[in-house]
Amino acid sequence: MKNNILQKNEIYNRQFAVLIFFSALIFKLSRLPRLVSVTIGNMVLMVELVLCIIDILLFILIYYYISINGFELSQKNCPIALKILLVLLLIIFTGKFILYYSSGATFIISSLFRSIAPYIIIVTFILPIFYLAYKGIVSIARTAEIFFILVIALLFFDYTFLHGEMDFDRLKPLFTMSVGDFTVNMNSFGLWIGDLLPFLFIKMKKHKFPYVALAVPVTYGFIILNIIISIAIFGGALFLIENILVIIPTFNEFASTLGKLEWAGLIPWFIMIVIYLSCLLWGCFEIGEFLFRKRTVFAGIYVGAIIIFLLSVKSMQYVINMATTQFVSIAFWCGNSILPLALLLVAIISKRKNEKQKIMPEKENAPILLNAPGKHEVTSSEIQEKNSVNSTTIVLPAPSNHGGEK
Amino acid sequence: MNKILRAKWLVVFLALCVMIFFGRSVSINVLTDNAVVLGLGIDYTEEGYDVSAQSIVPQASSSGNASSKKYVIFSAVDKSLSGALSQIGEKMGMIISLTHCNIIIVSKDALEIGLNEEIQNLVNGWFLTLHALIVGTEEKPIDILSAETPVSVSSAEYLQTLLLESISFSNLTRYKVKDYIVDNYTQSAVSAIAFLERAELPENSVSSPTGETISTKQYEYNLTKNIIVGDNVVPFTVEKDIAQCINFLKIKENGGMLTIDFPEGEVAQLEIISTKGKLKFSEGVVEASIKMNLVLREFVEEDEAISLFLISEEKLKEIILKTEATLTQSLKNTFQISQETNVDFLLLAEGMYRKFGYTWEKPANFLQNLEFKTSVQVTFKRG
Repeated sequence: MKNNILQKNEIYNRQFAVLIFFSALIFKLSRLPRLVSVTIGNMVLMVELVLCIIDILLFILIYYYISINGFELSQKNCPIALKILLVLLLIIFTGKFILYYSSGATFIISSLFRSIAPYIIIVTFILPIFYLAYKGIVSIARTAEIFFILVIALLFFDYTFLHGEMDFDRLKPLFTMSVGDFTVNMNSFGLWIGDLLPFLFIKMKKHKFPYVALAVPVTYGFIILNIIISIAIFGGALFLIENILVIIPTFNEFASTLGKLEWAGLIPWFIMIVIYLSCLLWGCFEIGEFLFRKRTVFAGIYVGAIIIFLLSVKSMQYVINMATTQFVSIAFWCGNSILPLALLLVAIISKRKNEKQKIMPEKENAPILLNAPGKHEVTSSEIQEKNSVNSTTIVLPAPSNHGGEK
Repeated sequence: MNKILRAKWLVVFLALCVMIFFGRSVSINVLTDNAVVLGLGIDYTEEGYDVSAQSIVPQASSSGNASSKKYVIFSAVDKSLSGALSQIGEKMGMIISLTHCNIIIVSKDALEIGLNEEIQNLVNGWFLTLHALIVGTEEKPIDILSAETPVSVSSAEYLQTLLLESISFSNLTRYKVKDYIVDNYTQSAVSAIAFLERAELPENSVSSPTGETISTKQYEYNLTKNIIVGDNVVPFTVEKDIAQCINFLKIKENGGMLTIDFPEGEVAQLEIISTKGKLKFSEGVVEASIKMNLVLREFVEEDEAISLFLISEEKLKEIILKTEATLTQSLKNTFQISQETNVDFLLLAEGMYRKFGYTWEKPANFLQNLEFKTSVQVTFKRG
């Protein structure tokens, strides 16, 4: 009989695929193209390409970490190393959450509710995110799966009837500066890698169909396609566009009859941002639970502190601008790239330790097993030789000349 | 605590709290508080921006009043466009909404000072749609907005229909806010905008429902020319054939008619089915090529139209050659004007930059030292 009961943090691979789609693209298409355009001019495509490649490489690490059940293994065998790394990861997640949350809230204010005080958005926007994050990744994944249909339907509408008067020559030249200058300028965009890091803590229940393997190329392909379309439409004026996902629907065949179709982009954007920020916050709660044991208390204090921080800063724009400062950005580059590597390393060490630990009890139990009735005695050198080949318990059948069953 | 948070009613309670909190703190404007601007006129005087807005007032239209009262025009002068718009809002007692404004009529004076940043502010601050069309004029924009056309009472509505919906049968310049901003951020920083000219029609007498005879002045618009504007450029207009050539090279969707005059007095009317204009760049050389698919609609010889089936193959070949020669000459004239005025409205510097990358630097006398080659290919069929 098929067992549909999911363990804690266990989601189906099709749900994981949806979460990857939402998480990977939302911030790479929201504010980043504008920031890149303002910072280094017409090189948005190259920057996005580099960030996507790094993200795919990081995802391979994350996927391997999940498949070997790295978090649980590390908890058992290397708790101290794991704690140190998770403290650092919590700092990275917190920074990321604050910056992304500010960015999202600012866009809501500037595009929908211009005349209201920012604190209203800061307080109300956090509620669905907090609730979903507290409920856990299973609830987030289910919610994402339900809304995925709506998101895909709207994106399909936006792109099928796209009428943007595109000029693909605007993509040229691909480099507007030397490779050296480009590399130096890339320092500013460390925040936008490792968007899939919160999924380090999930467990995956696999369907036969490789949804995840399909989701990664589709998602990153969609990001690059969007960037190409945006540059073909706006060229050097891309810095004017605050949110590609919201602006592209306005270039629709039906825009002249139905009016500004921003809503067709705003709805998917809003769904995706809530889901992704919930995932990020859930990641923080998981770390908090591991470090401090009390999830509820941690969640309350943590979110409260973030809200108080955001309410106390001069303006959210000031917070957002911090993302591209050298210190913050390099911290994100290091944190987002080194921490998953380090966590994987700890998990691999833990895995080896675990294998050794499995062997050790066998060694201890071996004489008892071997002295059991009907079993013959084996020398210690024979046991060592067999254990080095296979870690499973070896029970040798009794030779026929000893009598036994006969 | 865990059980409490899991409870479904908590979600409902929270949702209610959010709605009450949000509803109490946010003032949501009703539709009738908004003045839906259909067309915007921008002029520049010594006192600042003279802005006029033609809008449709929902209250007036919903109460079933006559359609002549549906449209209102308000204007204000201020040092900034935003200031002028705010004043118009105050005069109307409504909130100005530019989300449905599909046409902006800008005077030559306003174009001369450059409106790039101002237009961007309208997009970002006043939600002006990027699809709005920009039209240049030598007249006062308010006069254009307030003029009545035979097709529609609202000039803005008429121009919008003319430019946005007549793609298949016209080769008018459909230059949008987005194009204006994008072209301003090229190496050339020059735009070729549709130029509007107005001509008064004979007075039209209409009987009102009360039996009175009302004479109305109506106007027709000519939009075949272009006005060239840009950084450090004194705006100037170019004629229909030059405007057509700019469109062939820059815009993908082209339609309309092409008139070819023969020296013997014969005239061929050709319908443009499709065009493909391209600019190829190499070191110091630009090659402009146009591939055009045409249909012969009418051929007039000695003031009489000839049946298209009676036209000989030789005559058809002659028409093709003449068409190609005319278009080639128009392309050469276009480049010549660009050279003479030293204004790069074909965006040739941008093309060079795209071809040779960031190491390319615009040389002194760029246009004067550039070799301009042309290639025109016409495919043709009888009507």
